[in-house]
Amino acid sequence: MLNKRWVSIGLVGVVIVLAAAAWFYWFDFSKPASFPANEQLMEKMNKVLPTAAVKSIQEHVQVDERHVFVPFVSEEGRYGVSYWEWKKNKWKLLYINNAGEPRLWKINSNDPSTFYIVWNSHPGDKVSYMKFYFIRDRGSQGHDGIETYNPKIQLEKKVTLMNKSYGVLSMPADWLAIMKSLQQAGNPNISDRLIDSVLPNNNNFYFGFISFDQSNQEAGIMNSVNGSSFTNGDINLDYISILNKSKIEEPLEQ
Amino acid sequence: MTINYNFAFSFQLIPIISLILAWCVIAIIAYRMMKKLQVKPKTWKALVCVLVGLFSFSINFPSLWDTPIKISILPLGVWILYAFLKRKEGCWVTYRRFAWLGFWANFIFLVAALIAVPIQNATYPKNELSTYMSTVENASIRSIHPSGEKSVLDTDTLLKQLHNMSQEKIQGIQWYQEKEIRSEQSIKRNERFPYQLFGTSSKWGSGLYPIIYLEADGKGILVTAPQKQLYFRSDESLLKGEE
Repeated sequence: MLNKRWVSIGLVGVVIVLAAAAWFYWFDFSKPASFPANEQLMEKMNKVLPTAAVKSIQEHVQVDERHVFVPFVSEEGRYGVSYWEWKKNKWKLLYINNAGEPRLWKINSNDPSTFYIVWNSHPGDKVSYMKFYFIRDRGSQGHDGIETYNPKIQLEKKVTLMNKSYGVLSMPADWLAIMKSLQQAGNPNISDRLIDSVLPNNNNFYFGFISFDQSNQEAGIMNSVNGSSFTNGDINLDYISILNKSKIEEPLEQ
Repeated sequence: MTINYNFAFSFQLIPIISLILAWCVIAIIAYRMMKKLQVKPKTWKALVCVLVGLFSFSINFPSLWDTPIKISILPLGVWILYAFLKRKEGCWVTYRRFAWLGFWANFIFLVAALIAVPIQNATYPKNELSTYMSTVENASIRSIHPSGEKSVLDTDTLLKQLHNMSQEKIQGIQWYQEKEIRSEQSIKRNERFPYQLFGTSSKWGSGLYPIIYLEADGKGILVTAPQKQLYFRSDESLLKGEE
């Protein structure tokens, strides 16, 4: 009698678990439907952020199977950005901004290979190319006669804006290798330590960029900043620091 | 729902062995207790009592080693079990020894951890480069700073030098303040360690994922592990095409 009852409880449990798994699968792992047409996108964008006043859509840039970057132009001639994700069985607008200064889109913040730098540079800023930087500042510490040192990491990636105001940059191989090594080393090996690491923090790296015009002068990007934006979902977007050449190290002449 | 598939599992051989041995000792003691008892308790119930008995209030003492010394003081798990079992006739008398075994097991774990420390240090000496760089055949370098010229790692020399490199003092503050020429236009400065080494692995079972930098002259190696940073120098340059 008791056994029978346990069996039926067990069966019901299994069915519930399977149904939940199927539900999650349907929601989160189903194959994305084709991306909506421009009219539907614009309708959604203007509803979420009326000030965006989207006039035309420039392109659907497929970042990965379930993430799309949609740059747009507004009625007032602003160049904006919108981020879309296939979620809960539909294409969801995650974030919209009517200015397109570069941002770092972390699709999965634990996995640097899903990081993308995304921008839509206003043509009025006359940016001809941008240099993106991956930086960790030099650091040193000394106490109790023991010194430690962290070398400066400074890597550069040049991106030329060829007839396109917008773009998506995936992490260069060197940046990715370094980020992954820092991430792995950052995992403490022994749990519940009492002593904090004696080393300066390894992981405080950041991203930056400088815009240049045709004559290789640093370009101001007045038209690509200070947009109005709306966050409509779960998205990890980091700022990318606006740097200038006086902050970038160059090798000493021999 | 995001899945964290980047979870780095660090495999530490010695702590795992010591943990398994400690559990074996606890199992043997529990088995002997069972044998001695007239009224045979249910095995799974005894097991639950041991597990609950483990729960205790403890104080951590910082130690000279990486493992803090954790001393259990209050047998919280034992009290919880007592509260549950006292009402049932004879139950507490039978099972209390297993609850107490759970509490004392904390000390068995402590002893195991303390025994593991010297073994750990002997197997994975903290001041030896070979602990951090054991396999180097597939090693390569990547430049991490514009002053790192396009050089190639000389794996043969690295293999030869690996056991002959001498440990030296890290001059972190001096290195930080190295020569630089600042102007409004730029900073001109070389990085002392402009390369990072990839493709090496630490000694098997150490669980270490050190970050290893190579000095501009190709002769210095800076190893950064979570608890320690070490600096080694070789007589020969580990870079190809460098003077």
